[in-house]
Amino acid sequence: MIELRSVSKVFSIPHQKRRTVFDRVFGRGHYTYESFHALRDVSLRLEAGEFLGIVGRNGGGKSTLLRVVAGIYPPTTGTVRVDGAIAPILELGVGFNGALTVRDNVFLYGVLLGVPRRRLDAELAGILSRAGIARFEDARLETLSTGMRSRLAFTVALLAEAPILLVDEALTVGDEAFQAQCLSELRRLRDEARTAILVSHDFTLLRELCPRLVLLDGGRLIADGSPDEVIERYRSA
Amino acid sequence: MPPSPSPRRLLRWEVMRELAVSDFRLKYYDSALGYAWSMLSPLLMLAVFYFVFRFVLGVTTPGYLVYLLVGLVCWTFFQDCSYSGLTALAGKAGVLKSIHVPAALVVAAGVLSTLITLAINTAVLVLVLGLAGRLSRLAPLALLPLLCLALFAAGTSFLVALAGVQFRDASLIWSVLLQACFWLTPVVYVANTGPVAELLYLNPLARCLHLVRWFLLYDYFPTLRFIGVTVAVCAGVFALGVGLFLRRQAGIPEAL
Repeated sequence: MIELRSVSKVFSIPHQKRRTVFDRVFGRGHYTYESFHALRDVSLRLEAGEFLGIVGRNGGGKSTLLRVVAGIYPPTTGTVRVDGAIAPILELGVGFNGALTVRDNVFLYGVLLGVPRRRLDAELAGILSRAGIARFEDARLETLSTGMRSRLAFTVALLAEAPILLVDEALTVGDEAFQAQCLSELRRLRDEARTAILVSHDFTLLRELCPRLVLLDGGRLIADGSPDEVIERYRSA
Repeated sequence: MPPSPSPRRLLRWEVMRELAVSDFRLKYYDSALGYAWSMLSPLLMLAVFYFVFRFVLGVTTPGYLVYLLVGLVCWTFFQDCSYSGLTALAGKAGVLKSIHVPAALVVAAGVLSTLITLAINTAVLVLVLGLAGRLSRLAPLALLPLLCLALFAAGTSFLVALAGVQFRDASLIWSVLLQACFWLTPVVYVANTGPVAELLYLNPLARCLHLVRWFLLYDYFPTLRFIGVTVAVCAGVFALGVGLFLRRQAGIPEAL
């Protein structure tokens, strides 16, 4: 279960990105800040086993919401309650390093996502063959194509057995076959009664997977309901 | 049988280990000499300083070469370790912004990676000293001041990492401070007696280096008070750095 109670997230953005020690010492009070409300008073409750889609324009607060749920950003006000471990797939393959071998990357990315090292060791061959790069174990990751890298990342990410998944636009990469594979994997996870929050601009995908959508605009949650209602609201807004 | 660690703790350790090992691999990736670089850089510094101090400034201390060698191995570690605090978080900004990994693990991994280098360099150093017949009977005791050095360097690394998140010019300031630190520590010069030596005892790094050399080279056992104060100060700096960092780490991903 995930529960957000009137969560707000405010970033104070100095007009210059970061202050310097020099300014701190010699120019006190010199700084002006811009308050940016990425989330305003968002309340949301998600039961275990639910698949929720988030839609909204760029800058609407979708990614910030995922990060707050994942515990990466503490909320400025309000409370977040999450029961169960989270496997965030905010960005596929984050932490990948092109200079390391495919094997090293699998280990690094896997443990970052919470998969025990021993399991990665045992299943390495299977992971690589499912990702379709069985012969490239010792190749440097940078020698693989972008599509191959995404497939590898997705395959590793699926090993994370956490009951809660947070997916941010992860599926817009790769060819048609890869996207179909992602879709069927997500369907399987839904049937296993895992909980997920998906951020996407792909309405077909969201209709397919999520019985419920919410719409974020300017940091506010302005619609919550069936895909048809919410998508119509999004288009008319 | 010891109790097996909880899965969560095990995972944290695994994350730190993977980050450290990959960091270590990347450092020497694609360099012609690979790992040898980490030994070569103190050796090149050794040659330069030996030339300057022995022939230009006319230092005649017996055994100056090994004195210098031990100093430079320790100093190189402190420099790399503290500097890794500045670069580690920025280098892993993407990870910290999309996976809930404690930022402290990333800094700790940087420290661990420089510790691997220190361990290998120390092993080589001890081997060389042993072959040259310069190793003192007390040599095994040198592990204690080396541990103190590691604690002090790690604590500094955490403090510098925090400063680096908050201030853009932290890396410029730190490189100046490192220079100051280098000359306020008897790395390349000898200061064993007199009021200057007493003054240098205020510097925990100087205390560590003295102890390492006394145990490793000079068969000299100082007072227990000297050892106790050194251990306490280094552990204190470590606790301060880690403690402050842990209190502030929740805000780090959004500040990167």
